[in-house]
Amino acid sequence: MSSSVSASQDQRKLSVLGRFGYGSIPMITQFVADAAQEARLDEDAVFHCQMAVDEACTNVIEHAYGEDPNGNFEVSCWIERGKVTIQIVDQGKSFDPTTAPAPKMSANLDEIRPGGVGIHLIKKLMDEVRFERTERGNVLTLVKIGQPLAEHLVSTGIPVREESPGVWVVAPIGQVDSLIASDLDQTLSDLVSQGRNHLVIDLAEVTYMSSKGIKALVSGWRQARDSGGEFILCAIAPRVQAIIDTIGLGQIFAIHSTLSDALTAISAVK
Amino acid sequence: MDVKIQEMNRVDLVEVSGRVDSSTAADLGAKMNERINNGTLNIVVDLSQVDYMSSGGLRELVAALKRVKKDGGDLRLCSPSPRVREVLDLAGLDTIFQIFEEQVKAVGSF
Amino acid sequence: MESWLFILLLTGLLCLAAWSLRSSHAMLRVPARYDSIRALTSTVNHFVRAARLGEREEFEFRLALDEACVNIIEHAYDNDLSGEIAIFVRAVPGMCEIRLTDFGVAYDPRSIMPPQFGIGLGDSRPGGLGLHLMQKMMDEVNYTAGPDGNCLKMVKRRAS
Repeated sequence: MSSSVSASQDQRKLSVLGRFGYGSIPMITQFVADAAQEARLDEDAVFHCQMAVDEACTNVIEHAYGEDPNGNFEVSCWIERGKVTIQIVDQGKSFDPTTAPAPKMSANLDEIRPGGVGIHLIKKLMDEVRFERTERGNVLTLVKIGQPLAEHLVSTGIPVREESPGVWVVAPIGQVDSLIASDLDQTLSDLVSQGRNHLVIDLAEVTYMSSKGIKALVSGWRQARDSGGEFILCAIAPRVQAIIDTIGLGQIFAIHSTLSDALTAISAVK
Repeated sequence: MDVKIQEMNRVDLVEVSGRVDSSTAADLGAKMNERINNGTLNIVVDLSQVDYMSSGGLRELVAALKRVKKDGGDLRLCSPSPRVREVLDLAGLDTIFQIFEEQVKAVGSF
Repeated sequence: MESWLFILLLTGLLCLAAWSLRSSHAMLRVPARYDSIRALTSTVNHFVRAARLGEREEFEFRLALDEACVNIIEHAYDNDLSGEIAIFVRAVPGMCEIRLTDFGVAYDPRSIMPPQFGIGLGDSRPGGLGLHLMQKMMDEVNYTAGPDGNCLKMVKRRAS
């Protein structure tokens, strides 16, 4: 069976490489969890991937490298809709975790053999487990497959509601990073093009915004005002306000501290 | 990871919190061993504040179990979160440990 | 105390000291796409935290990194989704350094002016808003264009 995983158009590859000790495992499992989430796997599946990678990396550090702090290994994730393929490659001592005897748990104390629990867990948690020793070293491939989460369960979406006749409130939630910013941009454009140009942007639930997010707000502001409407921001967290000020846009937006103030202000101009 | 040990009438109550993984498991093992070396026979490990446990942690629990059983004691678990419970079950530890939902029942079982 | 126990303890302490003094670092490789940004910033955050820069600094580092990625996606690769970004991140107590390398088109950062009110908000000059933010958030921002790739290096230290 081939150890190479070819990337296709719909498959993205992310990888992390370094001299990792036990202390790096939380970082690596976070990396894998993010990849599994991008693959739209559900919470349980994501947790299984994290656990399996924890165990696999522990084995590499313990057995392939004998806890040598200079051991280098790489963890790669190939992301597809509903599927994540994880590969751990190290150049340590040849060690095939899949051939370790299964652990034995028994009421008879003397029969208990806890060794091999790690790989046993990996096999139970993942859908496919393959090991190969190649010129790259030890290559362990793990696959998790699941029903991809429906779109609306994955993206934060941009909540929009008509607060009062003709007054629309747009209330993004959480971290408006560059990916969400595109959604925000589209949402604002759509609203204005539908004639809904009296907009209050409620940022009470926004903890973070990159410049793309702010660009989206500026673009929405321009479009709303050019079409004779109004565009007001409210409830901005200090951190996000600091970003707006750094960019120098503190002066152009009409900003209110609370939603009710903003609604009052927009009703006055309507 | 934090370990708080309370000496009670018939058992030592070991309350663990945080992550029990390859970097912290040895510490848990060492603290239990210290008690066992001092004569503790019966241990209840309360897992309610453990948000994550990997095989390293499981191994320490099994090692401590074997030690106390040799001397006629026992080690029982209580209050694992659903995730930790899942790991215990997958590893087959539910067949060698008595696992209780509540601390008071676990302590009372001795 | 038994001598073997003492030696064990000493070795353990030395290993612990070595581990904590050693800088932690890693190399990452991700596709130059918006959907890589979240995984990248969350992984890099582990290093920023390891450097113990502070909560506010973690936020600023994340913002600068987000901006840097957007620049690479939009300008080095002109939104061609098949490009890659190679990242090197290193943390020591009090300092975190990151280097992003792309293999796309180089641009001259000196041609980027900080935005002024009313100017440049809608246009697509390379960097623009993003670069300005990066310089405010990080202590050092250096860009080197080269035949083997363009490298953006950013360093942040704990506020003294």
